[in-house]
Amino acid sequence: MEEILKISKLSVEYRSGDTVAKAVNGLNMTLYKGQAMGLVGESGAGKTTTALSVMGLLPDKIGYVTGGDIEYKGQSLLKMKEKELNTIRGGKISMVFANPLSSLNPVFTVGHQITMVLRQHRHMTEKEAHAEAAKFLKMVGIPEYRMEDYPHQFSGGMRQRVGIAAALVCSPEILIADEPTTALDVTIQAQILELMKDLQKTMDSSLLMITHNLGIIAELCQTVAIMYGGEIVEYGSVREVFENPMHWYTIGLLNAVPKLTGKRERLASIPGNVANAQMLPEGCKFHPRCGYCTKTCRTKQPEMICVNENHYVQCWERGGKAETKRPAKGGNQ
Amino acid sequence: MKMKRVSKLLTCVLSAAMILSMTACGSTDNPAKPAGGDQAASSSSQTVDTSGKVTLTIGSNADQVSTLDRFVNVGYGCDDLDYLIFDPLVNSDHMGTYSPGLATEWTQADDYLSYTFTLREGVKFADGSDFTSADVAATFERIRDDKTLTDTGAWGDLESVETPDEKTAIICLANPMPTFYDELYRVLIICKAALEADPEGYFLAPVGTGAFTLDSFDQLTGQCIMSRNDSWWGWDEIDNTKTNVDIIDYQFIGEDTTRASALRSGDMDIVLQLSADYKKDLEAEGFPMLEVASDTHIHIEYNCGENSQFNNKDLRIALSEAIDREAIVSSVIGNGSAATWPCPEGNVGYKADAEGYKYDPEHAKSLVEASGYDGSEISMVYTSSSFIRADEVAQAVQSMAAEVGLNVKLEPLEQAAFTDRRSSGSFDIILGAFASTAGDTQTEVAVIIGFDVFGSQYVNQEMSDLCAQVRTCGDKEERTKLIEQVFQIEMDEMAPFSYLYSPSYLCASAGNVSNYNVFADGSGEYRFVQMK
Amino acid sequence: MLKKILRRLALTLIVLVGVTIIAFALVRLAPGDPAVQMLPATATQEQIDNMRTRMGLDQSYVVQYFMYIGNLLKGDLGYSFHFNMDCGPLILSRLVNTAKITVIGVIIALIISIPLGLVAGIKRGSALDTCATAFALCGQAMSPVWLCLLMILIFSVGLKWLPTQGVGSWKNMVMPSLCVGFAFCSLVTRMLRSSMIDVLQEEYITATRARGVSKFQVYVKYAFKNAILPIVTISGAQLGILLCGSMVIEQIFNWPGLGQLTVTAISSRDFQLVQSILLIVAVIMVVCNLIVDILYTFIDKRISFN
Repeated sequence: MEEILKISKLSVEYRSGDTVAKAVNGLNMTLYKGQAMGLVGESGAGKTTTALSVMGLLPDKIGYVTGGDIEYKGQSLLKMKEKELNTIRGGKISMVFANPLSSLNPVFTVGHQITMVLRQHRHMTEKEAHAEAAKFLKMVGIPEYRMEDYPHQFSGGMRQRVGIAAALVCSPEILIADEPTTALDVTIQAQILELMKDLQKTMDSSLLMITHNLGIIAELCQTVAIMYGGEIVEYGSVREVFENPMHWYTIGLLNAVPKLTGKRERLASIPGNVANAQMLPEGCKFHPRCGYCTKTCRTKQPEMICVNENHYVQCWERGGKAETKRPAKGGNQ
Repeated sequence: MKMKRVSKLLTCVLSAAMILSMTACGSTDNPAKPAGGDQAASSSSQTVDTSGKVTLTIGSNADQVSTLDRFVNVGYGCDDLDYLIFDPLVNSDHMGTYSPGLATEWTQADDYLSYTFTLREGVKFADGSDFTSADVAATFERIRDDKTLTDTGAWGDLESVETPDEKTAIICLANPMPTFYDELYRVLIICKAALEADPEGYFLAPVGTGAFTLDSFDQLTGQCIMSRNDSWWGWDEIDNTKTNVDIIDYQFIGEDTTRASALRSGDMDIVLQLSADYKKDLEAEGFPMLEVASDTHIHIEYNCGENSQFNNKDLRIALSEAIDREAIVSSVIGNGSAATWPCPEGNVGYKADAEGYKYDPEHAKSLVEASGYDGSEISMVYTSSSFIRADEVAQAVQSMAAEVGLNVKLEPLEQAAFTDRRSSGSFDIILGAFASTAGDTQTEVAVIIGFDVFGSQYVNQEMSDLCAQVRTCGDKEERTKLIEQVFQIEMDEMAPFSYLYSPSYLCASAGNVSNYNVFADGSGEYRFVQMK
Repeated sequence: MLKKILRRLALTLIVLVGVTIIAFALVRLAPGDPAVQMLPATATQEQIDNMRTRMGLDQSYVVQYFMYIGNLLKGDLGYSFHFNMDCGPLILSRLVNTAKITVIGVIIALIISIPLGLVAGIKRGSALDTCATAFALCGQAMSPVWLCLLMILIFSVGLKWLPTQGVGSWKNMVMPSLCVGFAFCSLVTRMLRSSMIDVLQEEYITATRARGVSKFQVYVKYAFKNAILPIVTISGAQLGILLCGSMVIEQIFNWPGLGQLTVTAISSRDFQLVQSILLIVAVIMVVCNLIVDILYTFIDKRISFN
């Protein structure tokens, strides 16, 4: 399968005054063509930072890439000039944002916010762009006559559809969806997900779905990466990882999902708080919250171990199944 | 981090630059030292306008006029303009000397109830019509009959003007007017025909017999542009040096600093009534200065009412003796003359060898104690707009009074509020100003003191009787003696006024301007100016 | 929309009636008799009484008020005793003068402040931003007196480029306009800068950039339109205030504007003029705010005209 996006040892810091927050630490991730990958983690894990880094949209003077590289079809995105990057943004790699209300410009029409992408990348005339935009809006279930309306005249779900339409209108090869349904209610959520699934199939684009909702991953994605403390701690096919989780964090996450059936139990949670990016712990970043933490965990950064073809994990204890010790292909060296 | 340092540096530099420029402004040394009018290059480019004419630009601080009718305006601005456009029957030096104007001869009746004038021949108005006695009659009848005019108080006794022929006018009065001639030169003769043709608009574009004719009058700003009238009778009669100024541009500029700047930048050729601060600098920059004693005097008015503190002669004298008039004149104002008598030097009723106002703080202190003053507040009411440096003078008086134990509280008021307080008598002392007319103190004695127009509530039978006599006395010599007596009482009793000083006018001109004059009442003689 | 405007105008009328009452009352409550003010100090009681009759002050307050309103409805703004002309043309000509320097001043101010504020907000923390902020603070802190005098000193007396005062050619308008616009310029710079900083942190800006739109377009089109909103709001009130004339600037430059007229009218107790000026001023403020409100609804569709 073709590698379309490759992130190698990416490290990102946020600097504000004297404080430094290490948001992403040596992240490795590969996205293949046509594949839908989920990126899971709690808030503060560094998921959005990763997405913004790919797009080259880290906040000015605050976010800095301190190491590693991001390659799109072999070309380094980090080394690209702004002008070239602009042709990629929205044209080849698109992003859908979490909050539909704040991710649309309130003083421009919805139609305009979609046609702007067309005019930027396809250099269409106003009329052509309008027609094309209308087509996509229809695709996401919004009638054409609403193109002249403003974002505040739409509901949350419809706004998100607009965002999706704007992201997809130039048929990008990669769509990064940053928590697209978090701000929506469950029924709308289902609609949006259906939509995204269909679109991904029709357009054969790759999808990077960032979310903390494991259910969505199960619905939509083929592969999943679990992120904690700015690193990928476990990744593989959805089936493998969810049925056979090895990292204690993943195990904790899966356990935390309340069950509808079976005996009524107390809600399980992972003790402690998400790692503070300004003060990351030594050794394994998850160790302060891990119930199976050993001395090695506290001091030594774990390596990415290949459990099988579809499953990699970065943990000393690996859910107690610490036998397989084959190092990963092209992993964290 | 480097950027931060650069930013900080830039901020420092910017701040330093601002502070420096502020100090540069504060100093009186103008770093740019503009050319004083001496340099012909800069001033000639100012005086000669594009059509090659010699223009005299005058900047005045008088109240802006919105009509050229002298009887509706207050202040000397209208006077200046009217003296250029019109002529009176008699000309004057504004201090009691009279010479022929539109009248070549005149006689007065023994009962002072009529004055006969022989009018000048061959005088024409700017519109070409002849000047006759009918115009004189129209001028005075208007003053008598038009109730909308506000400054006609002095002519209350005018009865009629008879015109036996075209060259004779007889002004008839109901009662003697002691200041007849003083008021006469201030009556400018208008063109009867033009006035009747356009009663509403006449004074916006007046037709007169004067040395200059009006080109344009901007009602909005008061600016007047006038052209020399080459056929004016006065070029031969009054003065042999006919002015070489073709155009006079008279503008009203209320702000002191702006007038001075306008002179310095070459926009103005003559600026009037600057404060004494400017004298040294402008002189150093090469601008000739003209200092003229005014007929205004600054006084302290006592509330002599029955229940007021200053119904006590000792206290009045105490306050008067506490004030160092010389110090005020030299340090606070910068020019002028300290008062030694209740009227300025040379005015009617002036006594040259008088003992005058003493400065004796020690004696004042003892008087204060003797008077039984209990230390209660003395409210001094004044308005900042009545004369230059009113605030500073008030403060000086206050501190001088404090030295002798008098507790003076300052109450600066707005003009209208001030007038109100004065007429209602709610004050202890007032710091005020009043001007005599043409060096004649008649109004002050007969009206202000005589009728107590300024509400001092001072009662003195002897004084009132003298004032009544002054009011109707036609003979100047006799009147002068009476006025002197009134002033003597005023000195002895120190009531109702104690006079402080008489300010001077300070005017400045460009170096190439000569032969202009300013009178004691603020108006000026601009008809014979020579510009190099 | 039209209906809403008409309703707004109707409400405005009520406000204006209130203004006439207040103006009427204030002038009569202030100490000092207008008739006495108009006459020389030596005026006789008869002259004062005559004047009062001419001014209509001998009637009862109620009668005076209704006469005033009656005249207003006929379009007669009264007679100025101090200036000896009708108030209407007097105020109008002064207003036109003030408007001249105000409009020019505001335009120059906007030409300078909008790019400056924009760039300062975009390049926050840079040297340019520091300069712009310093300049803006300067303008707000600076006394107009000092600024006017400084300008005269430099441009008239020193360089002799511009005339010192008065009306004349376009040259006379330069310094007064700059002084009028200066404080407004500083205000807009500062406001636009902070507005831009706020807007640039919004997610929709990141989203716009994520669509490949160039930085320049993002700043100048997409961010700017949002950032300009608070400035439009404040401009209305500011413009109204400026149109009422700055006494200080007009006095120093001897510019015959509305500010100078107002102070002269008040100090000479020219009460009919004062009343009319207050009314005109109220109308100016109302109209400016109305225009701004209408303009606002065109820019930001979230706001409906209300």
